[in-house]
Amino acid sequence: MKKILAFCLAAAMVLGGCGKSSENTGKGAAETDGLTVVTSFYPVYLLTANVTDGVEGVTLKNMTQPQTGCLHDYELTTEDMKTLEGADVLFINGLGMESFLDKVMGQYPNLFIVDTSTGSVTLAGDDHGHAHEGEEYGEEEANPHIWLNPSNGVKQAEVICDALSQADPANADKYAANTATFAESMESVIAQAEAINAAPGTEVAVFHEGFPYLTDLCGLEVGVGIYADENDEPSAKELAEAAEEIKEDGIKLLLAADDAGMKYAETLAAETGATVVELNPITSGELNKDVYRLGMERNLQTLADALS
Amino acid sequence: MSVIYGFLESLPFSMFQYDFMKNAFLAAVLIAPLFALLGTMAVNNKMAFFSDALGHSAFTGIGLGVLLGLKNPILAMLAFGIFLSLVITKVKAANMASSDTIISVFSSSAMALGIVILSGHGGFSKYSAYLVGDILTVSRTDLLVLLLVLLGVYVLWAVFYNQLLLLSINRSLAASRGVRVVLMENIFVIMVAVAVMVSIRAIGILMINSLLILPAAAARNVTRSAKGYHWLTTVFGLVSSLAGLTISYYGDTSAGATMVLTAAVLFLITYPLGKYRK
Repeated sequence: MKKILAFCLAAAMVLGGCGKSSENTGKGAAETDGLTVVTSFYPVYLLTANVTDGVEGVTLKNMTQPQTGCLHDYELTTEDMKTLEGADVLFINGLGMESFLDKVMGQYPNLFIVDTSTGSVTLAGDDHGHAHEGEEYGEEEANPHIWLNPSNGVKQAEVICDALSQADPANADKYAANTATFAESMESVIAQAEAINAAPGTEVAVFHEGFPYLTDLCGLEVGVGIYADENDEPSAKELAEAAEEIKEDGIKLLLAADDAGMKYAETLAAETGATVVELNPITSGELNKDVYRLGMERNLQTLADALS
Repeated sequence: MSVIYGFLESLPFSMFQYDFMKNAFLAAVLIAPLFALLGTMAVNNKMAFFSDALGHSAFTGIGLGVLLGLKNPILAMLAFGIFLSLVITKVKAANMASSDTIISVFSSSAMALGIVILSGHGGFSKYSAYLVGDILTVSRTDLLVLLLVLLGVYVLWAVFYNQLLLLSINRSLAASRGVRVVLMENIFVIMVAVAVMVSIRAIGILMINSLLILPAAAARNVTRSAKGYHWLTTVFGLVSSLAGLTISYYGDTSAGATMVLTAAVLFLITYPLGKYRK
């Protein structure tokens, strides 16, 4: 008995240990005298990394693990609190995405928290009745996955740039230059999206709550939206109705991410003969500033290929 | 397959115009007798808590699958489920603590270990679908696996039934009659582990044990012979699963939970009946 328990404990330690080592790159950088900037999750990290690229003295950390994905039901870990401990600025996506924000504000009342969604053009949230617990912030209507529209990405970068220039005026020029470079690179992404130019009224089905921003960008309409990534399993009736709508409206493409929604897309594809197209919501991946642009370009290319 | 589909389509239920409902229906038809058979013995042997522990250990299986980089964690779940069931049986046989304590120790450790691994990888919410299960996205491959497991369990049952029954009545008696008790116990727990793990995607960690225990418990209320007990459990399992699935389709409710509730209703109905007859 004791031996087995000891074995279990040892196994827990070993396994827990390897889980950490492989993906810890975004955290734990050495403390410096410069500015410590923390981002709430992956897309905000990528945008901030574009603004702070090459600026000396800035330590950029991502609070949540880069594999977390969307922050639905995210619980703060002790590691997150440690990361926040030394932070000068915390950039959040806003629009209720960070449902744990109350706890952070309670623990660190003096932390400079910047909501990067200011100025972004938002779409209405889904009508599934599971708003992102954003009620407290008075934003229950808006879909928080704003970064999936590159124009919003630029807006978010500009907010980040303004805040950093205030916190670190010495490097304001560099932040501004980086932001301008980023905005320029997004010009071509936006042009790529406009070039898709789908036939008016083309409808698609989406299985990730962020994808309406992508479809909106390309002139596609969302005929069916099933969002399964929040412990909210669609019922048989919802799936049946979705299948009917896909058939009736002649929807050919089912846009899904590699997450809980994929199973539903595949089920409905088998049901209706429509094609599943996998897109990247850019919520997880490596901590490299270019991933945002590359991910966007790839998504648009995939969409263009699927539509042609 | 198309023959079965055609048959289901000819039934006067609008839900069978959808392939996913046909698949869900077939999954229920396969899972119900599988669980009924194992459930009868689990209830006899007072092992309801054991299968619950197995269900919870699926988390660790998923976690190990993620660590090993498997796209589909079913193999890791199977391996860990079998490992855990054998360890629990072994530790239980040592008789150092009461079996509910031992099972609880392993159940909570396995659950916690799974959550630690998954949260370390930041992916806990991605796997929350396993909590409530999802019989509506069962694929044809899943159905084939379920069918094979069902056939396997039936074959083992046919071969070892008498020994298993003797064992469930009295361990010492079984041993004195030449039953290899440890082997039999291990075979039984491995069957439960495999059945639980292959069905967990469809039924869910939180629900799976109810489906194993409730039909057998309801049947035990009103049957007197071992044979009647098995058949009635299978009937109860089928009735509650299929009725639950149908109600969930027309009532727009969660499929797994509705199936469990229908089984609970059967228990509530049979309980006073059994009392009255005794």
